[in-house]
Amino acid sequence: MNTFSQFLMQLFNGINSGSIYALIALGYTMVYGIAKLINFAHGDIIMVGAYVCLLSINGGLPLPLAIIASIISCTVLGIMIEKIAYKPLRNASRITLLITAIGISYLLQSSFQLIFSSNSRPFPDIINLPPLIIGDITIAGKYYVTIIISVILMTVLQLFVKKTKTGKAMRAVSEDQGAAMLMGINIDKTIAITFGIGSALAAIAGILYCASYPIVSPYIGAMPGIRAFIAAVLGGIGSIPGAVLGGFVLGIIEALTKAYISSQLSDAIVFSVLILILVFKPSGILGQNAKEKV
Amino acid sequence: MKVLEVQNLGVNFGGLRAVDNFSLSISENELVGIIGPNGAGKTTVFNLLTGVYKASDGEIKVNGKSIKNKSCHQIINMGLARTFQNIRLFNDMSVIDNIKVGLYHRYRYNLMTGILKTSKYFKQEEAINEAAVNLMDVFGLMPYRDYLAANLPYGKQRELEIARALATKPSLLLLDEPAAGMNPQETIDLMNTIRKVKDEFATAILLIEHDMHLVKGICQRVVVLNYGQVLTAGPTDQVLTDSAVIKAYLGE
Repeated sequence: MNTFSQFLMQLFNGINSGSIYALIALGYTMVYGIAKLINFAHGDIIMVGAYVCLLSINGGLPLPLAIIASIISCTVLGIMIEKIAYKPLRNASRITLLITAIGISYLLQSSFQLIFSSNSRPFPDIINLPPLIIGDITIAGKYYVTIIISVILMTVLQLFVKKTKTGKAMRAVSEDQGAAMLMGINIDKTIAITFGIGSALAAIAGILYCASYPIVSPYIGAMPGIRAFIAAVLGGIGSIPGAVLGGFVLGIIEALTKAYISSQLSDAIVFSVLILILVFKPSGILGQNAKEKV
Repeated sequence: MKVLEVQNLGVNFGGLRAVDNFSLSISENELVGIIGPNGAGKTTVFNLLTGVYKASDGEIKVNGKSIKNKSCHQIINMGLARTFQNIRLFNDMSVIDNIKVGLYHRYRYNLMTGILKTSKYFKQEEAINEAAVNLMDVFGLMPYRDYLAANLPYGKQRELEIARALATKPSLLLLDEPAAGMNPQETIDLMNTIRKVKDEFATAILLIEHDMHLVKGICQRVVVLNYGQVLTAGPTDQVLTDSAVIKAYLGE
């Protein structure tokens, strides 16, 4: 295998993990856009999604039903978290919301640890497709499935937000809640839908993540959650194309540093890139500069 | 029928009585102005009418129905719409999308029809598009159709805000200082626009304004607020020459 095909392989690794980061980052960015809240519990929704899928499969459900069960339970969970924890605090300060989000994150982790113990469980190999072989490059089945599913979901989401009534309502609420309310938009419903969509994407991301790294424990959501949060900030938090771009950029940088520089240093390098980008463009790659009224 | 009936409306903010014993009724297709010194409670009245603030006492009826315990978007659905003192458009959306946001609540389809794109969805989208184009035509916004709202000239932004409010098909339109920041020529254009809105859309209009030329030029009736209370109310000419009103504005 020559160096170029090796590079391409690493690139694919990066795109694979990048597309998972992007799916998760979409949840962060949508919720931030609409509720101005960094929902730190979002990473743990991934974990819940993976658990539900695993338990459903172990319980004998066929894979498609297990995936649907996982998506539905995460959607309901996301909406419930918003209703119970965030909605009563809608007029509270941002820091209060942030701390509540961290609290919810630990609540989810600890209650899953209590119920299922902190032991890791193996996740079954759910994507059993033949690898794609192009020349001397081999791309594992789960890799291209992950990439294809993610790209489809991101495209659908983008169309949904741009073209549909609910999508326009979401954009209106994220720009000016007061004005949106006075256009006859139901704010509560719109925010609930946003949390629901974000959580559904997180469920799918959780399953895809576990297809690549086949281990489930109550803590698996933390690391991809943080990475995806970084991806969202990198791309410009609040922007949907930004989250996607940020996810891919992060995944590719991570894979390439692991392969060519050092796997121990990869996190340090990823975070340095983040710091550099934010030094030169504080609002992120595709983020808009905050307009101050003078 | 009365589009708006307000009786003995009052609201307290802590120890401050911001609006007290405010009554007003507006008939179909009537054009009424609210004037008064800064801080008199004019915008507070608008916020009470649209449910942004909850009244401490009194009653508000829109098209004969009480708005008590209704949330903001429900009140809008009952036939009220408003614009803001400082323009609040959806700046990152195009002109046509701004109007569509206002139109959407009149069309009901659920998430699944939106995703599955049924024929009902396409029919509604077409109706929405047509209604948006009609509104843009009336306000001369067609050339700006795909501009971002933020990039419109100031006068056009005002008109877009009025068009967006009209998209919700209100029977009463509330305009909060529509002429604020406009030069005399823009104000004259705005007066024509407001007259046109009243005639073509058959809505009643209640407006807050400091520009007395505009008030004199278009309002049929005027209510004067001072310290949260109605100082006087009646036909425009009569009220504007009232000595108590002149005193409230200019001092002794």
